[in-house]
Amino acid sequence: MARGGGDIVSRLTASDRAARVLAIIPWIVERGAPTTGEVCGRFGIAESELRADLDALQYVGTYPRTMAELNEVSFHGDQVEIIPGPYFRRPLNLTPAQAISVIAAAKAASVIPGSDSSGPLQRALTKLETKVFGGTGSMIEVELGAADSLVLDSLRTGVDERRHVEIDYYSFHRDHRSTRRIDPYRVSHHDGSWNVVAYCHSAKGLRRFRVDRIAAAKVLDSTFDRPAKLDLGAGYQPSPDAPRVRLRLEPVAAWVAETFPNDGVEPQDDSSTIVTLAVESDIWFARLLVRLGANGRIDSVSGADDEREAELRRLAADEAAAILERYRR
Amino acid sequence: MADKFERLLNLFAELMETRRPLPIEDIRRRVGGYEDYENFQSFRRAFERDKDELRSLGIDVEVFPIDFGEPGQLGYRIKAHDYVLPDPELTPEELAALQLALALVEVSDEEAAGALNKLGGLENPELSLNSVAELPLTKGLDAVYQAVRTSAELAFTYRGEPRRVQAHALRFESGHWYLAGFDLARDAGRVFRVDRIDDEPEVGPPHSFEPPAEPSRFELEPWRLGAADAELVIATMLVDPDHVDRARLAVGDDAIEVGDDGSALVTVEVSHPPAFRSFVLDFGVHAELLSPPELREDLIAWLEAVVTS
Repeated sequence: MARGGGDIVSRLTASDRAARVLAIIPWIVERGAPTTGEVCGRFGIAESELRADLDALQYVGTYPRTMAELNEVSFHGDQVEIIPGPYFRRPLNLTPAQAISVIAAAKAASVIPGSDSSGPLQRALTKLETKVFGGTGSMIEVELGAADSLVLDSLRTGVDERRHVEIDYYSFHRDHRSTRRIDPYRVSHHDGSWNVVAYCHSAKGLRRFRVDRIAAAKVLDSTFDRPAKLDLGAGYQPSPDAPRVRLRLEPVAAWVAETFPNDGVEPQDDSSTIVTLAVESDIWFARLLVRLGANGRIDSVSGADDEREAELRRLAADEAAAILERYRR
Repeated sequence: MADKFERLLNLFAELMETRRPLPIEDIRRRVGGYEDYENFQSFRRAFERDKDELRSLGIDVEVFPIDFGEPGQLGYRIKAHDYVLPDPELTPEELAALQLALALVEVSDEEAAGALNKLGGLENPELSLNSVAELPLTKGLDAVYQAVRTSAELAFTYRGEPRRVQAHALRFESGHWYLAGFDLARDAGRVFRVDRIDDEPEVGPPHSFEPPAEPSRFELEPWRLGAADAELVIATMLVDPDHVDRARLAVGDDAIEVGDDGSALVTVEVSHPPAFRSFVLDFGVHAELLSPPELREDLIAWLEAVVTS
């Protein structure tokens, strides 16, 4: 190949480049004679890559590839103009994966508490649903999980204005409600729930709180400094130091492996599975054992003797006995 | 020698334009780039690879037997109509709103970028922000979506069993995608979690059934996921004041009645009692299953078994 640009474009596959150029051509045609800078900004492409793709395009067309069938590309200073061959006038349709990604993101964005539920996003979605997706509007729903919009608003204000927030939080691990002061760094939704990552003044460290466990949040007047470097991580990760328990689950208890972050699931020959869980709180684990009954049994506890295993089982029995008390009153 | 990028676009244009399916010899002769292959076998391999590349762009090359020339000969074509984007006529403001939505909600960076390019590129090249929500692009979701969109049947294996389902609707909730549909073997409506589908779902021909007039029901509370013919019982539980918010988020406002002392009476329909028992026990000593008596007795027996185990 005598034409330039080969070095940079070689990192993309031929089909990646084809997909991109098939989207770029119709836009240039419709715009008339945009500058190459405009095209590059809009399609996130380097000038040299664009030049290489458009150069190659001039040799593309249907048989017998005379001037009539080829794409005609001309540069006037920093402007580019294209007279396209057949089948290069309209972009390719969205693939199913692209379509569902757009629908999911647009629907999710419009149910984020506090977002505008009419407006340009809704109009865009309606146009796409009728003209491109064929009337799928009511067939796809996105629910982002419960969160009190007042609590969410307060947390977002705290993040944006770097103000302390006082939260009333229920801790599953401790089975305890407490009021804490936090420096909220990021509010986000993943794994089906809203979370806030924050510096917690009670725990004196970075913590992740589930928004649906925050009963109330109050934005305070005082402000905090956000550390320059922050690794907020994506989801919840159990502490590497927490003891691990290998728990044998009957098939009906398979939800445990899907619900709690874990170090791995091993299917067993007898249709049970063994999941390795981090036990950061004895109360939480004892309650899980009560819920599982005979469907979940401790297989072993990492780095601990049988004593520890017996202790965890005793805690579960104690928890069950405490609940029973309530039914015998 | 024309590079692969040019050859791929040449093949795309040729197969889009042709009305009759093109025999392989014609493809070799007409498509710019294949003349570089002197040997038929190496051309053939290049053509097969190029078809795979087109498939990765979402384009299926159709194969037909053709009735001229040698018997058994095959012809190739792309159904142009299926692969051209209808113009959604988005205004710049609407395109910008879509770009913002795709930045705020992370589904798949790659699919989002590909989709935006086709819809007109980035309206705000400078836009840069952290996403606030993540939704998984679950494996097989594209096929399930395609079936829902085209009223097609889906064939897949679910928990080891083969299923044939008329795909009605999709819903994202609690971190997972769910498909509602009509299970043809069981002759009943069913809800499936897409990430629990064992294999790649197979999409049948479009317009295989009338889409239902009523919106699909997604009953996702675990205690309502009993078999379709399971008996439905009304169950009540009492939740202590400090834990009412948590219960409210799980069952919704309508199922909750707050008393004078701040505790709440929760009333729900249950078709799968074990899941409801597990839900009540998740509150530890802060909740009590009140009725019906058989569920209460079952829970007491369950706790006694844990105490003595």
